[in-house]
Amino acid sequence: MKKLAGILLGIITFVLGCHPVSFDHDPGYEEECAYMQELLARKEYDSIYIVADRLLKAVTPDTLSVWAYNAYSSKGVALDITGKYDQAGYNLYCALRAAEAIDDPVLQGKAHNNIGILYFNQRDADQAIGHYHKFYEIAAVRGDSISMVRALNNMGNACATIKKDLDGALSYFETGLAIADRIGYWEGRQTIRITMADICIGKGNLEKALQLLDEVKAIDGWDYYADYALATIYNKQKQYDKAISLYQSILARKVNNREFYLAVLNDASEISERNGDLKSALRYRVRYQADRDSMHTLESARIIQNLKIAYETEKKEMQIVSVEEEKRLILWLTLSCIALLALFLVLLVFRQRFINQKKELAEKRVEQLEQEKELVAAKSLLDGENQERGRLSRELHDGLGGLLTMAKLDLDKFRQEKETEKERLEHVISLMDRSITEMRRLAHNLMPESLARFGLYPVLEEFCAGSSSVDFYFYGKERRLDRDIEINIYRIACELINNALKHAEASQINVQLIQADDSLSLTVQDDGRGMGGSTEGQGLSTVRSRIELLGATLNIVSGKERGTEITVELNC
Amino acid sequence: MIKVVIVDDHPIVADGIRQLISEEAGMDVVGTAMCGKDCKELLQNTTPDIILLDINLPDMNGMDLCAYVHNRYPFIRIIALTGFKEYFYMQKMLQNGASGYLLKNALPEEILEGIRSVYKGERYFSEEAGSVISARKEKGKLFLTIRETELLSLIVEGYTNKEIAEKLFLGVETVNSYRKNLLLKLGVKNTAAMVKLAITEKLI
Repeated sequence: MKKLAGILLGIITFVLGCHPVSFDHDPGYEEECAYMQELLARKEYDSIYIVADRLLKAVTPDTLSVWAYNAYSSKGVALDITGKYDQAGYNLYCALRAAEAIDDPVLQGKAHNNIGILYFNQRDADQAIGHYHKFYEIAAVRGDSISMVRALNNMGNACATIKKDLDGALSYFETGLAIADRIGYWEGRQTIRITMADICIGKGNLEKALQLLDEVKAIDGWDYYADYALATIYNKQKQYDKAISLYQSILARKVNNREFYLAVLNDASEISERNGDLKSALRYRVRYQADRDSMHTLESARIIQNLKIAYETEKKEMQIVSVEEEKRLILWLTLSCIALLALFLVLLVFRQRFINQKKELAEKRVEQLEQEKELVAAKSLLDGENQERGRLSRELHDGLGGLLTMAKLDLDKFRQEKETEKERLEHVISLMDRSITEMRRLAHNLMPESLARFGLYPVLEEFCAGSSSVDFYFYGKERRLDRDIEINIYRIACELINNALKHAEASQINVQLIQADDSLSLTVQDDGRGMGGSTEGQGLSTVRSRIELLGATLNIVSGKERGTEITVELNC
Repeated sequence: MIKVVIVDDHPIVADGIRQLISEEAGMDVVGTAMCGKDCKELLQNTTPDIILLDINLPDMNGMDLCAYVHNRYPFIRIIALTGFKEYFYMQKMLQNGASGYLLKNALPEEILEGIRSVYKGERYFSEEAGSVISARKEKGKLFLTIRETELLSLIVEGYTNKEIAEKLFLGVETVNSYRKNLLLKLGVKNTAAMVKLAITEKLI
């Protein structure tokens, strides 16, 4: 019973002691303070530390301000609740210093109250009462009767629970009650009466207790704490049925305070046993034990054992239950075996599919490799061709070219000497000139040097300039490309232009090169007789193989009256 | 006294031009180089007014050398002296900072006149070079291929890419790239501008 009184008082103190702070200073950090209060209510203590530290950092170096008070106070209270008393003490004292520095009596009082609670939690009654007293004094100076009532309540609580001085406690409570009645402070009038009722029960003064409870009813302050006090009185009067029905009604409602809840369960169990209702006693006891996460003490185990022995008929019930459970277990096992089997089958199916997939992939890979092989073959063919042409070109130029030049020089000298045969010699010389020019042109056409040096644009322009019926147009931004691409495009252009010159009987050929940032477009158009379906001939097939090698696309527009237009597009 | 440097890998050509210049009053050759590297070294010690630059050098591209010299020594004026008579080379050399372009078949008077004009700050092209450029300007009229003309008229009439592809029996991607090429060619940013140009310039 005394234990419960203590719990009850503790609750009241807590509820009355921690009050959200309101102030009329500049609205700097009001939100943070309100947020910290909310976090306290939600019991999210770790978050409080973070917000408080942030707030403190924000107001540094001015740590003696109302914001600092709030931060220290919230932090200290959270630390107190979570049992970290040393750190709590530091923060709560910092809060007190801040309150004193800004000379705010309201905050000073609250700070003292919080420190009192801390000492109360550490079971140091004298220090607790000392600080509660300070709280009382400050409130008295201001004429703050409500705070005075609270302070007296807390002092009485400390006296009763820690020092076990019931009379001393009652004197505090009576003083507080007088003030509360005078100012009509309903909350104080209600809770103090219930507390005093508990103390009177503890002293054995049941009439006074009942009288107090009647007064509580009179001011319409009945709650489950009052129920509990009344139940305790019934117990003392051995009116167990009445007590139990009260316990039941308490447990039927949602009780917020766990300690109180446990206490009710405990008493319910004891009283049921005393009343001879072993079944209920066991039930309450089991619920009680289930709610506590502390280890079983030997005492509790013994109590349970005794109750069980006294309850033999229940055993039979339990046997039936266990047999049913066995049956369920077998069913479960069978089902899981079937499930495993099904899973196994599914896995088999998947494995088979996987194998098939791999086979398919392997076949595709073989196909791909064969394709690549073909491409490689085609490429090496064209590469070889390029190299060969290059070689030919160089040899022509170096070997043959040199010889022809020397021959020409010789003949020149000879002409100077032999005046008579001048005419014939001149004829020979001009033949040589033309051979040299022709050979140069051939060599150049085989592998133009300017292509590697300067790129597609100038080389194509030069190629077209050599023929009066061929016009060259360039659009876009000139850009160098890979050597292979340039060579192949150049060859394609040469083929197409030569085809048009030789076969199409055209009067005008237009060559267009467009270079964009990521693509290239070559168009050769003539106004000749157009291509029939069958007359594609040799020329286009090499063009097509080059196009395939490059990964380009070919587009042909042709008709009898329209001439021919061939476009090559390439992404590069 | 106009100070000239000659950069050419044919000694006969370089020699011939050097003689031509030294015999002329008012200008003198202060150095010659036969490749890009030599030219760069030469310019570290000498500062000419004019450089006669060949495009075809053994170790580097004459056009790149032109850009290099123009960036590093912006006060030196560069005249191209080359056998290339294609528009591409002229355009590139001018882009890279040259002030004049002489073909190697130019007359000696043209070379001297070119040096004097460029020294005064004008541009100079030898006669054949000049005719290439003006011929090009004439030909600046737009050329459209058959396909492009077809495409343009369909676009102007408002067909979508897909519809155009179906009409011309082409793939949608092909139509897309033709369209892209058209935008580039006509120098417009989007289809609306292209349509406007097509109508005002009566291209279709």
